[in-house]
Amino acid sequence: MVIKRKWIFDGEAPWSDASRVLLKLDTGSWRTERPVLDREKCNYCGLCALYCPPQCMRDKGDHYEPDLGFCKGCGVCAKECPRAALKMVPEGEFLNG
Amino acid sequence: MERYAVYVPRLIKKRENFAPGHRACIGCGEALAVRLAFKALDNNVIVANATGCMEIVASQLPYTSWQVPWIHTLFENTAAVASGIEAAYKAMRRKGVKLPENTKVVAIAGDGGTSDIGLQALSGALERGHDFTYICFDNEAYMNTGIQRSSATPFGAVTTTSPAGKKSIGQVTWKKNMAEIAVAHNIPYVATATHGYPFDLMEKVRKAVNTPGPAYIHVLSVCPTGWRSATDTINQLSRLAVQTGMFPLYEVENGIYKLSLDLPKLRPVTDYLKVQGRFRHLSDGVIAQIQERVELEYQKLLEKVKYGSQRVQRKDKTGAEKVPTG
Repeated sequence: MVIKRKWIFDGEAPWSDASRVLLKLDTGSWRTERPVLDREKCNYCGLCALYCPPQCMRDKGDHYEPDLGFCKGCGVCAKECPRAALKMVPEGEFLNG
Repeated sequence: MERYAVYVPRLIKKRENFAPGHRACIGCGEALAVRLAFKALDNNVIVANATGCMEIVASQLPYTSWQVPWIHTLFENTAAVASGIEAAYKAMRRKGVKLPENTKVVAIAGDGGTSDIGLQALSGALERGHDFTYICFDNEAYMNTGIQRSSATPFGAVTTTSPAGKKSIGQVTWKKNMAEIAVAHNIPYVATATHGYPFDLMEKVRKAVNTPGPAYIHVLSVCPTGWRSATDTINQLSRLAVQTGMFPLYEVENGIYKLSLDLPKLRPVTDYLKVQGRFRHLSDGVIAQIQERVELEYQKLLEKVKYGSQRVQRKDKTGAEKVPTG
């Protein structure tokens, strides 16, 4: 599943809107695997957020969740998790929602 | 919180100066290292960035990942631009222009921009004693243009311009020791760091930026694309580089060496070499040669550390001699 982010330029050229925060690149569409969290095992240590190469782990108060708009699916979080709470699942299993 | 070292991942600052959504490869260790380095700083910095991966991925025209003032420079003049920014800032402050206090200047470059092309500008800036921090993100080849060898490429590594074959073993020269070249300029702070030890990296960046005078940090950042390794092993690889002695972590404050990680025994280099595709072709003889060289270099470093700790102890006893700063 590709998460679509749409943006429309108001000005006559892209660079006239370059100061806007909403300009983002959809790097989540590069992904072939996505991290899936097992909430039972997670003890909210924060190592996945520390080691994530683009910081796409969002703090949810008692666990971290990947921001799938940016997550490229490198698998560093799953490898670094000391309790193996994160697992990489191929994108194909999410095709039907 | 700002004044103390933090060792709990959850307690470090949430705000990012290097936003996600950049075009770095999947599992880019350099993006991780840049992110961690700028997490240690606040917003009051000016960044001069040499051409290289981090400039290409983070600043395509309508987009930018940088949340701090940032300037793109050429390969050869990063340190010159940074020293110009620092001199202009000092002059404008002196003339009474309203500028924020205590702005830090940070120059970042890759290993090509540091040890090959930008070396003369860096040497000049270190020698003139500008108050800036130079961070080299070393991924051991010109990865941005398609894995060409640089002088930071280790012995035996395959790149597109040093291919392995029947007569060739890949790169035939040893890695240039940039940190030692920076130490030879007698600057106040030199350190080596890697993103596998994130708290160590952040602490060193904070220390370097708060040191008056020039500071140099050499950061080993793993490139899974160029090193031909799996994308999720970047942190393991950087830790193995430290634990095998290929890339020892140390800091040099005013000429006194200090090891950041005290290893009782080095792991064999094969642990590090066999997980990377760029070293796959190496024969046992070449690996033994690398092992011998690594041990020799590590012994040399241990000697320097021993001498440094003796000097500190002598100073503690007498209490008279103080280390000059600046």
